[in-house]
Amino acid sequence: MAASVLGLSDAEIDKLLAEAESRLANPDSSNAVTAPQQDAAVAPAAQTPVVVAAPSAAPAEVVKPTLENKSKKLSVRVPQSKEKTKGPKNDAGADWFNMPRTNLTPELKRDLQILKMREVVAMGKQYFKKDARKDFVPEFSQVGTIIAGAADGRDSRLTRKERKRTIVEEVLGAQVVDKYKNKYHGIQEKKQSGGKNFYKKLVNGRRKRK
Amino acid sequence: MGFERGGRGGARGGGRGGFGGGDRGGRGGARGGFGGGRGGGAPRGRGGPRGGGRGGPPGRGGRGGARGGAKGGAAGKKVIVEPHRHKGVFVARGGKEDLLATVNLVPGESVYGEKRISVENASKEEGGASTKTEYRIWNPFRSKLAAGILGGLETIYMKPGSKVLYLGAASGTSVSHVADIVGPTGAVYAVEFSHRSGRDLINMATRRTNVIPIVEDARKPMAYRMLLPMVDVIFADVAQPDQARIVGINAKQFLKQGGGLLISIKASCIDSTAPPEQVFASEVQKLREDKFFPKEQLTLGTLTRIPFG
Repeated sequence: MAASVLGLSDAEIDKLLAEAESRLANPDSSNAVTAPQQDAAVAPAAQTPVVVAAPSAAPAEVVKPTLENKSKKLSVRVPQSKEKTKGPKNDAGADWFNMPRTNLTPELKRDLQILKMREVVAMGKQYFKKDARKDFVPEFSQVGTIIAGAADGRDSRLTRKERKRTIVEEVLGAQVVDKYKNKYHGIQEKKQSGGKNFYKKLVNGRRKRK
Repeated sequence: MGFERGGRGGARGGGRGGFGGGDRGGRGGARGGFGGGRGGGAPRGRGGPRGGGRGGPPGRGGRGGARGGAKGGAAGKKVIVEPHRHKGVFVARGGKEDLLATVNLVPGESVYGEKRISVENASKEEGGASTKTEYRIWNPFRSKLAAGILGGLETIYMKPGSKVLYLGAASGTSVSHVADIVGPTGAVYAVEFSHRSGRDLINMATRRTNVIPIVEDARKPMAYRMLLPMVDVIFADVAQPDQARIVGINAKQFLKQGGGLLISIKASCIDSTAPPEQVFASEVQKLREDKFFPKEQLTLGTLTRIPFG
């Protein structure tokens, strides 16, 4: 539309744009090259050529359309790598030899819970410093198995049967597990004594007697 | 004891429970027991006045319950390994006790018969081969640095990539753990005068390429000056009457401005007649004259009862 008004065909405009683009791509050879190109391209246009030709020659013209500015930016822009998003880190970094993030499986969660409650597991045989951390799941951790040293004798090795997959299984596999049960039942008994159930039992007993 | 050279003489690090240890107060506070649970009962119930929540009755010495249930750190047990506050150091938490650990530079081998922890890392891609990481358990009874970490040292100055000058390396048990901490990018220059233990040190260094064994007299740093660059940290465990002087001349030659010094002072080795506090104070004074600013003093107490390797 505008092109027809100025007496330029679509093909000519395309050509001009392509030339402008190549000029912008290597700005060193800008002015020297533009002058002859201008003549060649604008000569057929005849009327009011200055306004159209000006943008390519003079950089700061009032008429200079914003569209050309945009195309300039688009054509010259160097592709930039995306800025790293600040997300949670994948590992603990080089300072801890890239220890990976905790892979929280249900088994590991239980293990961590039992570590938190290990004073209970010790049943008064051992006392632990209280773990003050709010989140009992560490950010970075790995699950490992202890390997005996060369000098360690039979006493410091577990038999094949004693070896378990998780800490929870180790606790439950120990022979003291009956003590945990006793403890649990003791607590339950104490908690459940008295109250409504006691009364019901009492009444039931009386009914049976009749 | 931690020193810093040439830096600002800032405030001393407050007492921070490292792990297991009691709340350490100012200088020379009695150490609380550390999370024990070891068989035999010797270290148990030593908490004393400062031992956090461990002041209770010592309990029975033996292991409670049947075997298997009470084996602390026995082979085959599962542990969860986590990063420690200090860089390059890890904590292995198990059902009975917490253990200090370092990454094993030479997987599959232990240096002095210590226990290891093997970890299988599942590969990221489906069906890919899994990799193995290995940690070595660091016994605080055999290493003063480990004892210091358990005692709650504010900083150990070394981290992966550091260069460490280790005076009094002995057989290299502690040195191997320091080598693990600094990793393949760091270096440990281990100086030991005795040929007998120097031999073990060299054996250890054959498998750890970041350890440079130097069997020379630490009093004559000129003898090994060609082997050393400037270092970030000096660890001194020489137990000699003139150890402050030894450290001073080595620091003058090799220690970076603002570098750290960790020195272990055994009072009876310096002056067996004077009370330990006096010996410590005089040693600190000597180090001050060498432009060291004392940062932290820690009494290792019960952890140093047995001779160190």
